[in-house]
Amino acid sequence: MSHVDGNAMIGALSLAMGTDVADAGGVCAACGLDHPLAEAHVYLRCPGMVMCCPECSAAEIVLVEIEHRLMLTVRGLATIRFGTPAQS
Amino acid sequence: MAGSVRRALGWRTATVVDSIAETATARSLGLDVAAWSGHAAGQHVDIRLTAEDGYQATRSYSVSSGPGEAPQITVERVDDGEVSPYLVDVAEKGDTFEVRGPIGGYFVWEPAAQPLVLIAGGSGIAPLRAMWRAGTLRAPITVVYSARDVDRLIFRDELDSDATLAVRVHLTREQRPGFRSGRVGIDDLNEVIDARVAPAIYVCGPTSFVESVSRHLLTLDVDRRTIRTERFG
Repeated sequence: MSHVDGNAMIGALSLAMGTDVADAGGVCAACGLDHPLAEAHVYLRCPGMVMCCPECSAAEIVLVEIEHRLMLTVRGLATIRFGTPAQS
Repeated sequence: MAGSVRRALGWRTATVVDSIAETATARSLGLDVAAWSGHAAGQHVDIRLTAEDGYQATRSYSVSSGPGEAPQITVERVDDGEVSPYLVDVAEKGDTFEVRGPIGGYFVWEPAAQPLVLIAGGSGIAPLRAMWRAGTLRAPITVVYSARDVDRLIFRDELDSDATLAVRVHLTREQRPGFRSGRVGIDDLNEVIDARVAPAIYVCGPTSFVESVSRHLLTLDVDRRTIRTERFG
């Protein structure tokens, strides 16, 4: 099963967190990689969406959206950083 | 802030107002979305379909119209897909479905004078079209586009007729004069990318295409911070 980019999950994730996470970053709790959420790997063909670390593939976020209910599990991220990153 | 996020990212109704068959397997749908606030080049929308039994399926599709234009998505049919066959083969003008967005701040291009290189595999051309339509003459724009064969090329007429674009089209399963044969290789990228001028590079396509192009770019010593990628299934 191939993955898509974290981008595919940004809409539902922003709604769940109540703030726009388009520019957010995270630190993988498993391997410590610091990466933009948009660069994570997302698997869609599951009951819900699973965001995995682009380095070690550990599951970082699981989000299930059924009608107007959202269930969010974020046990695979040590840190989530909000806000616009410094421009390169 | 949470309130505004809910307004922007809550589900709204989209009505199909335009339908263009781009190829035998791809279609562009112009959408009317109440209170559409405009989009940036590269953003996407989530589209949710609900079956009569309540089953729901959600997928993301890039906006292929330029900023300031009415929202349009361009969809390639995935044969075992849950959403794309409906959008490509069934949806007609007047039909409605749920939409959320525009979404995304990562795979987004804000018009600038910096040279722009757009690299697409298949329907990955969709968000890149939004970028070249946002472009100004200040920014030289190069499009590298890979498709299986000439019948799979989306926006072919537009790419042919827009004199402001430098376009190179690769056909991976067909040989034809005027087109490059085979996959986008490191030499092909080396010809269009001058790492010294640090162009902004956007790559969109199937995962395997994006991985391959990204590896080539890094081999060419392109600064990885200038590369933005978007993969789909």
